[in-house]
Amino acid sequence: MSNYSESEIIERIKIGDSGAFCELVDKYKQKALNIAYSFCSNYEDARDLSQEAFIRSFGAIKRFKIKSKFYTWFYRILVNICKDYLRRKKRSNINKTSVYFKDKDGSLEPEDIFEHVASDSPGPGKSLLNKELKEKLLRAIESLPFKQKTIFTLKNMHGLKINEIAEIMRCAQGTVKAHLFKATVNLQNKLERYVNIDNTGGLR
Amino acid sequence: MKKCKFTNNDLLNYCYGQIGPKKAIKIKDHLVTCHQCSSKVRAFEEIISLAKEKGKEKTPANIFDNYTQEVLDKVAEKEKLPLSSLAQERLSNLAENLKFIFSPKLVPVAVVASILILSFILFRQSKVNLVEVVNQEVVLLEQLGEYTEEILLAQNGEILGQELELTDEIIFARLEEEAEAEEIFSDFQLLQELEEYIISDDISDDLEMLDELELEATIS
Repeated sequence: MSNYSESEIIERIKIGDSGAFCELVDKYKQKALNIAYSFCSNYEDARDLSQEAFIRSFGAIKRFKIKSKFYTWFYRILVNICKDYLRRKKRSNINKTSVYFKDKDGSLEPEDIFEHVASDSPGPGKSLLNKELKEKLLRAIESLPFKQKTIFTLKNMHGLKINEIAEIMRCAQGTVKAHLFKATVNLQNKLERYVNIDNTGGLR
Repeated sequence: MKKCKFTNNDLLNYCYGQIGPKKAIKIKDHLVTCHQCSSKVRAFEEIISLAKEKGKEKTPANIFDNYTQEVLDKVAEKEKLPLSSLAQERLSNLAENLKFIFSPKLVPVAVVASILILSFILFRQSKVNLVEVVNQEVVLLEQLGEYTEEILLAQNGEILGQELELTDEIIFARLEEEAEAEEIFSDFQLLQELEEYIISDDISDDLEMLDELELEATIS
């Protein structure tokens, strides 16, 4: 890795230095792949989506202003690509309606999302640590509306700050928090049987 | 059941560290005594920690094999593409999107939407017509008002003309009267002067002079 700062790397890319672009790809490919994976739960697709984001950002880098942070700009491109991917996927899923049903907030949820889990789960709280339940969480996240899903994953799985997410999503920080809270409550409701909550005191 | 003073949002703000230190202490103290809130916070924290763990999971080892080179190749390939093929790619994407719009499942929705739009347009049209009629009537009323005003003005003018004529006549009459009066007055003055002349000694002198002249004439 060179000693150039990120803004210098970008300036070099702008004048057509492909080596500089390689540096940028190497720096962000892990993060990009992880973000894409949280949308598609499939490493092959995640790889393609993250690569597509790099290709598009290379095409548009001349319009990028050094004043803003590169990664928020790049993540916005990536999130939009993932959004398109999910839209296409949703359309193909609509054609296979037998597999899916609509839940109360209008999002699509796989029918078998909690299938057979209640019977063999070892107990609330502890059970969340196992891999199977992490997969359940991922599938529950998948069933959230797009904004809630994006904001929840960017915040909790990729450690971005509220203000950075607001920049990526082009909305107010208050809106980000509202979606984040709604997503957490929705996930808690979806995974109610497996997380540690008192049955008498349901969520308001 | 007794309601807690802290809402879900307060508890979530607490879980995400989006809360001031004073309120955080209050909530922390409250969680010690409130079983309901503490179980909610535990549930939220479990979800959050589970997501964080999931985010930290390692990706398959070979996933980045040839990754950067592939990106570079694709970029180069895209740059070589003539504009027309890029446009074609975009068009095919658009066509794919339109396929969904024109799917037969959306026909009833489209029909209902068309009916709604049509009825809205008709309703708006009728509203527009009504406004047009009212505007026309207002214009007509304005024209009528102007016409009435003109008539009134004309009538007033005629009356004024007549009155002016009448006034002229009166003035002429008065002038004539005045002229007559002046003539009478001057005659009267002449008469007065004549009277004074008759009464005065001058007339006797004049008469005497006349007599003398008559005598002279007869002698000569």
